[in-house]
Amino acid sequence: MDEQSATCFVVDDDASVRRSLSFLIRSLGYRVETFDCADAFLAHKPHRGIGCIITDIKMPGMSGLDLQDALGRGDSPLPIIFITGHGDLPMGVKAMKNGAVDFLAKPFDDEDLTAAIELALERCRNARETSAAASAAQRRIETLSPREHEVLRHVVSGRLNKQIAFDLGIAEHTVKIHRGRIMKKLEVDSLADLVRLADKAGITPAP
Amino acid sequence: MRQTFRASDPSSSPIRPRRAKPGAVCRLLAFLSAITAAGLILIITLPAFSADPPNPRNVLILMAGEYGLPAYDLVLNGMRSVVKAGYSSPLNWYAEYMDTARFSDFQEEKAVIDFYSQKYEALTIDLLIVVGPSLTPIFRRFGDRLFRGAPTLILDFLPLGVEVPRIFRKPFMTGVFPAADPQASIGAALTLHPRTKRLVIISGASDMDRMLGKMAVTASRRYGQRIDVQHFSGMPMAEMLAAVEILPDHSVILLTAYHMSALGTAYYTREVTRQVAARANAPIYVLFDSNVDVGGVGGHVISFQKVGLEAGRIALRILRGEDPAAIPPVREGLLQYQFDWRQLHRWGIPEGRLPAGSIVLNRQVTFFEQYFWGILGVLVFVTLQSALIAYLVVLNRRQKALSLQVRKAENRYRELLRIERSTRLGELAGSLAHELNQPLAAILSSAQAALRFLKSEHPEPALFQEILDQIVVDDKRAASIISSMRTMLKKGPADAERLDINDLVTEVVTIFHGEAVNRSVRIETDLDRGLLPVMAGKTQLLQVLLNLMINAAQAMTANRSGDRRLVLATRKRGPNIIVSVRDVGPGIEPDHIGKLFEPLFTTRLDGMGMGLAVCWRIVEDIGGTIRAENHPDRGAVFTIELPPVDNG
Repeated sequence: MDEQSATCFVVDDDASVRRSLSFLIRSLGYRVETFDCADAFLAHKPHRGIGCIITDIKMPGMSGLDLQDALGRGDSPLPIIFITGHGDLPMGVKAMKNGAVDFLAKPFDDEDLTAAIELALERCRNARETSAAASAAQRRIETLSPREHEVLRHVVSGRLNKQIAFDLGIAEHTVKIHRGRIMKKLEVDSLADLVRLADKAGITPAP
Repeated sequence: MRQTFRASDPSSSPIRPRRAKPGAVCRLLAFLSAITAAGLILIITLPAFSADPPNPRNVLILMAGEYGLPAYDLVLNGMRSVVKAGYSSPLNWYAEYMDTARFSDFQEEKAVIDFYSQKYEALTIDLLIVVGPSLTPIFRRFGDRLFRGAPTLILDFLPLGVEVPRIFRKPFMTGVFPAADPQASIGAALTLHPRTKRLVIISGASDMDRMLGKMAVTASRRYGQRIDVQHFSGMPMAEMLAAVEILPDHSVILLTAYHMSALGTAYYTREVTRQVAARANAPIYVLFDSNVDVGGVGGHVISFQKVGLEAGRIALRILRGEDPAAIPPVREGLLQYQFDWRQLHRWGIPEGRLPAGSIVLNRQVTFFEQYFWGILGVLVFVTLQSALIAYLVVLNRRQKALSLQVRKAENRYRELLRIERSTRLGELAGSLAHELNQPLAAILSSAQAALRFLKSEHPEPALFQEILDQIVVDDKRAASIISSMRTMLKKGPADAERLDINDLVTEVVTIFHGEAVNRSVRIETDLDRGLLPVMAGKTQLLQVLLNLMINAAQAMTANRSGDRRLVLATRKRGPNIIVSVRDVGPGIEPDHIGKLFEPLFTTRLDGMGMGLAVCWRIVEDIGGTIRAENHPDRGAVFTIELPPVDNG
């Protein structure tokens, strides 16, 4: 089961908090790994599967926000849920702006944590999927020739063949041949699919 | 003719005015019996020499007047005391009173002289002392017949300026001749009573009385323009006493002599003076010292005492063999200004106005004067004692005030400590709440986890065990935080108790943990486990450690967040226990090290500067020391050194 494989990473300097969170997360059916400081977590090998991070904003040494920054610079897609002692609102706002899933004030209800974790995992999952599709589209687009790649950029920008031929200084007929090859290489049947794929692959339309 | 005679017992009454009985035989019989009784033979033998008296010498005193005259007492006493002191060989004293004033018949006087001649015929009289008054007629009449030319000392009144009569100047004679001085007495009276308008001169009716009265009247003429002079001469006693009671204001009395009234009644001047003084409304001045102390104010008086002393000296010289002819008669130095203090007092006469050289008799020293030194001593003692008592009372008050102040100060100090503690705790309020929140949050999570596990299909008992254990741990943690806070906020003075310094460090770390997290400070402890306990108030010691930790954490604000380290260490040093708080901040500026523990010294903008002063006081109270220094590497170290608890 997909959910079962999800892992929550608890980063907190407080042993009580770590242990009790670990109980609670386990009772929700997720795997748990705990770290007593952010450095320890960062030293851990990156998690490739679905998961999320639950961390206290304030910790001696590297704080939760520091951890968020560190992760943002890398390519970790693990969403972060912040928990904090009591309403440290400015930090919470900052954390949320930086993309935190949620900001829970201790003591929090298990329902709130559950919701936050589910949201975080959903986000993680989406992120994982998005990145998988993009890389597939990317791989296909890499099979195109430079001229085909150029024609594709004009196509996704919505130009007609005649316009493309004029812009590129080639015959309209040639444009048609390129389009056919592109469609075939990218394994799409319609213009709409083509545009969607190009978008996933991050093709920028021609100006 | 009326005459008086005297009873054989002279001491029955001071004044014996009597009617003389008529009849010569009767008189003679009475006279002889009186002579027998009054012819006292005074034999004074000094005991030391009485065992072997070589040849006792005989002194006969012949007195013209009667037995009991006060003047005689003074004269004889003075004389005898001088002779007694200066003459050690045995003496036989004989004394006779001729009583010539009252037995003035010449025949009788002749009989008396014959009687004495016969009486003392067998004796050699070595010294004859003849005492007046009014010896002139006797000597004129009997002259040489008196004791056959024995050395003779004559005592009689003789006015100044009058030459010593020839009859007193025989070769075997010498004398002491005082002169009454009414003028000086009047002068003294008028000086002492400047407003005097009337002088009343009182004199009796005897020859001598009249003579003195006349002298006084003569003397008073000198003041005739200033004062009226009235002379009561021989005035019968009752009349006179009535008269002196109603004298006009500003009168003075000069009482000369009164031995007999015009009615022939005999008196002693001394007694008359006493009676007049008792009745008179004016001060009385007198001419003889014998009258001074019975009511007379005083005057320039003949001092019978002096007369006696002079007579004694001459007697001594004669007894020692000097020729009386070689001894000049004494006429001067026999008067004396004498006053009675009581009368001066009565008439309001200040002593300062008395003539120079005055003698004041009967000075009644007041109680104060009499016991001056005693009273002074007592006063001084009482004063000193009062002062001492007052001083002690003041001391006692001061001590009470002081102890009250001390108590107040003590209370203020405790209050200050408490306020400082709660201030500090207030600074930590946020982190303490966080610290308390941690276990509470943990408990909630654990409990909810347990509930969820319960609802699951396969509850694991081991897991429940684990969760419940954790809940217990967290609950205790919360409780210990609350307990620490309560300790810190406790109001009353903390009793000293045995404390393990390591437990204390652990507790303060718990309290401070939240703050440490807040400030990203890492706390390290380095504890020596083998330490003796210390004796201290837990609250206060916690306060000290907490203060030091807050300071340490604040000192590291400028450090990178990963570079904030606070080290709490306990150690042994000799018998003492050391606990130190070290930070890795910038350290203490050398200038500040000496002032750190002074009250109100602060380097923080928001600081009161009480924290370290309070620490210093607390540690000192425990009997320990606290000092601050910079660590050789970096940062500051605060070290508390405490004595271990006595093993007693």
